Amino acid sequence: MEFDEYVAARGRQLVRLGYVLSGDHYQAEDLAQNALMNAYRHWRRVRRMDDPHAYVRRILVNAHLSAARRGLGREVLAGDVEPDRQVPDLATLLVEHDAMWRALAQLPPRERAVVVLRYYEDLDHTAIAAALEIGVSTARSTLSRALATLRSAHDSALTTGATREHD
Amino acid sequence: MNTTDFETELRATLDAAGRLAPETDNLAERATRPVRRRRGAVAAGAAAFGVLAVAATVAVIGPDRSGQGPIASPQSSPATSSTPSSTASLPYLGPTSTRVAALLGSWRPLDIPGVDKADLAGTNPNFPPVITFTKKGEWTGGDGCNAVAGKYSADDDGTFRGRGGLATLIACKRPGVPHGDVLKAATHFRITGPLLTFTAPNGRTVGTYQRA
Repeated sequence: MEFDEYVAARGRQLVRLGYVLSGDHYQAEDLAQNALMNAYRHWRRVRRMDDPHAYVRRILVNAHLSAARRGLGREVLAGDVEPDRQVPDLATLLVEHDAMWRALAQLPPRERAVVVLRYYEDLDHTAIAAALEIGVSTARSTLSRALATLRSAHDSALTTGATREHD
Repeated sequence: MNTTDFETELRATLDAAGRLAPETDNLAERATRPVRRRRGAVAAGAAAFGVLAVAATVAVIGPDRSGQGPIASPQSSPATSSTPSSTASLPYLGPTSTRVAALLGSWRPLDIPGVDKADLAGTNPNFPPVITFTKKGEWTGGDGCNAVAGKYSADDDGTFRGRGGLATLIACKRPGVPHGDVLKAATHFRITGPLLTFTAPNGRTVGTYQRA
């Protein structure tokens, strides 16, 4: 597969993944572009892999987590979410999925990444572990912990009615 | 909410979020541009070396006196070189969009003509100078001092109409960001990467915002 063919097939998916991970348009484009730049540099090797997309996705996810650890990303979703803070470009989400999105916002970056890889990318535990370069049991336990946190935060958001409707 | 419903809601939320991802064109070109530029720079460097080598040769050997014509002048360069652009390239912010869907969300003022940059930062942490456009045709937020709100209408061809202003009347040491004035004066909008620009009928920029 040529690089242009790969980008045509998977480029949009990478941008979406970057956005779902970061919640930021600019970071989403940055993450996708940088992952593709990396892949392009090594394309002769990457194209021979069993799953080139898994390689590019791993680069993207780990770049996001590295940036989050260094505090470089605009982590508008970290820690306590102030009721008046609004996540960028989520007008639609706030109407229909506000509670769940706010709950996701409260997850630490790695836990959110695991949830995204499981429920957005539909990866199994083995693939999640490969993407994050961790053990399968660690992936499983991280996901379990993340879901427990998510459910608790989601139920709490529903109870307090933290929405942004301005009628 | 049972586990199945919870997971269904989780998937639906992530899927909805994914649909809000930016529309990005020319990903392949953007991903390969730095590498190609480096390769071009290497070729140009080789060309420059070749030119210097010829110049050094001319300097050592001297002008050709055989009547066969001058040795290649220092100005010539090997035909195989590709000269990179000599202009400094501006950062690529992404494609320009006038889609209303791209307008939705939160924006922070970056530059408003006539407004001191210091006044764009805000002084009241309860109402940071961020405005949010909703799909219901409303905008809300703060001006750095007071809450602000209003209504707007926009089309995918970039036309815009807005009105509104203060929703509270708190006295602050510095004036608030005049979002209402910007939106009232604006007749068009466009979004390039993280930047939102409002313009008046004569094309004059009345306000530039950055995604918050």
